[in-house]
Amino acid sequence: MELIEDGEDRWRIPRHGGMLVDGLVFTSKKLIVKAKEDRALEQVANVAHLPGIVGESMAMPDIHWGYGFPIGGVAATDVEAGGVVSPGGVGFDIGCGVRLLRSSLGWDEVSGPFPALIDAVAAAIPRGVGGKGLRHLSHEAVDRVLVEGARWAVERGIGTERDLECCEDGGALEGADPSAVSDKAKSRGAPQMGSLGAGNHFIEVQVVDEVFDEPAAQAMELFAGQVCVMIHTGSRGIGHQTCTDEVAALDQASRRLGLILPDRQLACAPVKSPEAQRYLGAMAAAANYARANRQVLAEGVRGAFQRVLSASPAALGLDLVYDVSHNIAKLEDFTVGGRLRTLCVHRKGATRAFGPGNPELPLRYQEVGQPVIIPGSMGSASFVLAGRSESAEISFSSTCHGAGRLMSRKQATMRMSGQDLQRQLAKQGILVRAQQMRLLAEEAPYAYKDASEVVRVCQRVGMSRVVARLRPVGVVKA
Amino acid sequence: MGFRAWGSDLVDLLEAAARAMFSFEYDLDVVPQVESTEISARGDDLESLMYAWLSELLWQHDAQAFVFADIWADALEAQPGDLRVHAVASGSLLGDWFVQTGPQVKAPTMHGLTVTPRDGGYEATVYLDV
Repeated sequence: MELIEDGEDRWRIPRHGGMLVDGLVFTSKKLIVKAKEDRALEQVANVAHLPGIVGESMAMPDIHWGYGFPIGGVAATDVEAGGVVSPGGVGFDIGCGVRLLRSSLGWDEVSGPFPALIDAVAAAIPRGVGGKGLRHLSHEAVDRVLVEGARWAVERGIGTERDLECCEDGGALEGADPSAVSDKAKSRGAPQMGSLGAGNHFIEVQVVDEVFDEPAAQAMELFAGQVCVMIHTGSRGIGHQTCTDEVAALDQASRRLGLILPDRQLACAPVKSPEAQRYLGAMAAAANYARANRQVLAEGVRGAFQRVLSASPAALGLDLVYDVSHNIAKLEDFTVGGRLRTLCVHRKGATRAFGPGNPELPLRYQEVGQPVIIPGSMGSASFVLAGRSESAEISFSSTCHGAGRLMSRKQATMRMSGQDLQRQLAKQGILVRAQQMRLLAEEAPYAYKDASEVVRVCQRVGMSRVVARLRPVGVVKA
Repeated sequence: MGFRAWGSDLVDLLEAAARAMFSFEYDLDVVPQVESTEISARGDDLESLMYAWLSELLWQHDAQAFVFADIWADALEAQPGDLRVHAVASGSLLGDWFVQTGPQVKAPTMHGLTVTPRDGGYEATVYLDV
């Protein structure tokens, strides 16, 4: 497969075989090396086979091997031209994303009682196998969550209206169809509302290390030395089961429609078909569950802060900066070939990054652009970015989603034990609270790419700009 | 993450694949065999049968909190375009006794999924989302 360097931080895979468009990878000379090793570039080329794809089959700098789509993949299909939606372009953890809470506290106010604080956060957050959540939902409540998303929680006193204002889509993606979500999926979701899960999901207490864009930081109410909380999780079992169900359904549809795809995980159907409409309804429902889940977890964190610091919610100021998904497909309008078209934009391990003035952004971010929350890995920095208007033409208003894996879980665990990693991080001033020490090393910092290199590439390319860097001081994981 | 499984026939292969999938997360040999459950799955070709089979097992594990110790596929019906398997399994409900030794599997995937006849038996390649 040919790979051509096409300008700074751009690598083009010329159309060949059954590809309908070129592949385009935004990454540096340093980061492209790993993408070549793990067959992720082949997956970029595979995605270019999707019917109705426009522009290029893209990948963000945190690209790595996934299932069907690469992680970091972005693909847009033209709905009116028979463009398809593919569950493999969203992934199993539908609506997985990140939310960032800022606080009114400086690190100097928190560092003293911090061991007790991180213990309290860990005690308040259900996680791991069997992960029963903070709320057990009835069948009727599951259906409401699937439609109302984070609003379901706020209407029950879990969070504030401001939380909804600062959540993508106001906390609920339109078009959710609970009837398209199987009873099996609902049975997985009912006990798990308000649970973190496992793998790379985490809650981190972080400190704003450096501000790079003062006006944007002011709009986001961020300042150097400030304590923040980042929550990374998704739709738990209800999302996994929904994707499982829908990949099977669209696999059948793809074959019935005679679609020739290089990978069955790319199973798809035209957006206007009944099968695709059912998937989009189920996907939106699962994404809404993910938003409600992060909302409930945020309230668990707020409660822990209040108890340990004996402070009122107003004094803590643990307000939401933004909540955004990085595993989702959305219908959005973009100009392609000089004509405004409605596209189905798949972002799998990629984040929407609307620039200033976009009407979908809350008023407080109209001048600076959409906050984009980029988790690092424990021990390494996370970042807050702001979307740029230029990203609409460059990447269908998308940017990166995280550091991206550098080595397999097995490779990571062979280098160091979980206990040794915990001790090493403690020496760096990072307290880790994990239930499964054996699994901790899978998520070690050395197992991930350097997030700072990833966000620098996104800035150079013009998709987003760096607002602030946050360093971890406490990590809660399964 | 993935595995390759072999069986002397299709039933044997499905059982081996089930054990392989759960062995990422825990040691099946130490699970008390005090409960039983039944599993049914169908597909229209060998790959979709394997996908449905592993999906059904994972659903029972996650939603029903069933920890599998052993799995016996006791009936296989194979008509063109319609493959069905039924199985019984022993194990325990999830409890404090459970020791997790590796990542929990979220789902099987169709990515790179193959089930092919080989040396008089069958071979499967399966990738799992964790």
